[in-house]
Amino acid sequence: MRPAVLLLALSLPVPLVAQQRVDRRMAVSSTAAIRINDLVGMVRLVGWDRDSLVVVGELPARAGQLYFGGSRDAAKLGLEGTDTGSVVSSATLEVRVPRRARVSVRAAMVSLDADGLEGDLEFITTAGRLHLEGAPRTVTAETLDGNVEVAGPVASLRVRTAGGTVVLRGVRGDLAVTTVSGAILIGGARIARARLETVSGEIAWKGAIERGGTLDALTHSGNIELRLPPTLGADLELSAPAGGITSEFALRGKPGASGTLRTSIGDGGSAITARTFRGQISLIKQPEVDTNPAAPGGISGTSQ
Amino acid sequence: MDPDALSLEVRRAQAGDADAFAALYRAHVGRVHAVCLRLEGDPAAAEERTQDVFVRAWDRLPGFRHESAFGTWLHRLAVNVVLAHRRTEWRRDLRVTVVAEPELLESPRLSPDPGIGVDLDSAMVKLPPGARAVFVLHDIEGYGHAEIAEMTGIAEGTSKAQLFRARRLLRKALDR
Amino acid sequence: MTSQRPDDDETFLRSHISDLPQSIEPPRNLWPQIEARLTPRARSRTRPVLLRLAAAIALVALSSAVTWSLVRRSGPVVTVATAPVDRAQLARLARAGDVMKEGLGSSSLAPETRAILARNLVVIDSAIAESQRALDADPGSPVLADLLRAAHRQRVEFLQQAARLPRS
Repeated sequence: MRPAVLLLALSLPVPLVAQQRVDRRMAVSSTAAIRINDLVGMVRLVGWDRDSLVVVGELPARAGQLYFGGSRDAAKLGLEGTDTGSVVSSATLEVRVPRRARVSVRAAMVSLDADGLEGDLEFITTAGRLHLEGAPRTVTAETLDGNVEVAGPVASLRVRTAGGTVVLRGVRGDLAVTTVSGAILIGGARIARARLETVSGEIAWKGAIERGGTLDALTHSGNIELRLPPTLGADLELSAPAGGITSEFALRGKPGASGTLRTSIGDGGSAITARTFRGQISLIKQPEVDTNPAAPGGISGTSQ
Repeated sequence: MDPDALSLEVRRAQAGDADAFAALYRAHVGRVHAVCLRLEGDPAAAEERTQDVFVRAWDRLPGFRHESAFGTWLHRLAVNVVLAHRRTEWRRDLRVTVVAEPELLESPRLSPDPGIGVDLDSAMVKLPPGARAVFVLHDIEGYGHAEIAEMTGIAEGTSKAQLFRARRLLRKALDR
Repeated sequence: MTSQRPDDDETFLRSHISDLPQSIEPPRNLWPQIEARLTPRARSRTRPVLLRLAAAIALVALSSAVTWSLVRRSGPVVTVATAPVDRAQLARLARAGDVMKEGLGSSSLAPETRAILARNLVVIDSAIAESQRALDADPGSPVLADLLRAAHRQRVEFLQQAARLPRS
């Protein structure tokens, strides 16, 4: 390139990175239904104490245009015209919603960090991931290939992923987790009902079950490890035809046909079913099970 | 050593020439030792495995068909040698203890010197053996979860869980 | 505004990994010990190799037999709260999965998404095949029937999830 041409090129006012600043706001009701569609990059979703919806942040040009609007009870925001041929990972947005809002996030590829929510959250993605802290009333998360981490006493939690790992801490109430190959790792839980299913992943549970509650764990080829309070009373049905069963609890009876053992610990009261075709089942006494999500080590130290 | 010369040395070593094999040792020992050290996490054990790898390579060299580069073949052999040696320990670690301790995800006990930055190699040494093995094989050596599952005898899901955990522990160690 | 940070641990570690040296020389020369352990090449290795191969085959066969016997082992039947084998239900589940799979085949999913779907279907289908083989060998096992039913159901639910995916 000739020097004069080079000088001319350098002097042209063309930004090296076309980044658009986003700052949009509107009033909504405290329990508004908010739909967030097709965002990309990193999104922080924050529940706050104001009846307004705010989105701030920066978007590269190839992320497309932001649309934003709706009524007090139903608002919608999202991106259109995104260059689907490129990975837009440099987008960073923060979306603030009323704490008790009902929020739905659908996006093919987004990394979502959520906290402060107390309403309902639905998150459906192809390869995005979810990291949530707090206590929404309900959470439904579906991702094909991303990890899901939830820390907090969510009352009703539904997680479905194929290859992602699911890590839950301090969860409460009603729980359903399904994966294909991803592991299901749960700590500090206290649940009334939990159904954990995977095809080839491991299941590791550390927590308590309310009296009368149920815990069902099913994996085809992974191991199941249940760390339970020593004082727990539960009726057990354990099937591990190939891998066998090990227990720190005194189990009466022996596995019968197909390696199934049906017995009780303590005075019963809860119901635990664990099945693995190829893996092993381990029952471990965990005296220090701390189901307080606010306790140090309970939910602290999540990804930052 | 240039590739042509290396190929010549390989052929001479295949024919039983120990001097040629010594040249191959000098050309590849650093790479082999690196993978042994990362998988074992212990310098003394890594030296032993490095020796085992080259002894095994000498034994198997007549069967080497030049379908891949010698370095690739030797590297795979090194991984297999370490895995075979530690398989029992790793499988116990991978299948029972490690995956079932979600609290370890929350409070990693990695850096012995808080406040002093650690590099990745130093942090890896502190990982539990199973998690270290999966991290090294997947993120450093480039094996897929299916291959790791096959090599180590664990489920693919376990491999993924270990990788997730290893990355989390390492990140926290390196973030300090 | 949220602070900048890598979107996950993998991204964070990538630069550290790329900085790792590919080669780390051992602190001392190991060649003398190696050389001392090398057996002269003239000695035939054929017989030991064949013996090792035979032993490996025997071990695999033994392992399979043990696993199989565990799966099929007989003994006192413990009452299990499971439904009996319902082959018609299993067939319906299998058919439902096949129909959904065909539907997804003609949808506008991205190639990467298709690859993820295919990879996970392989995992599920192999679990179904394994459960089916075990049930064929032990047709009266309610637990095996439950596991097979669960695998079929997981296949259907996985395909339903795929159908709900955002298309952008």
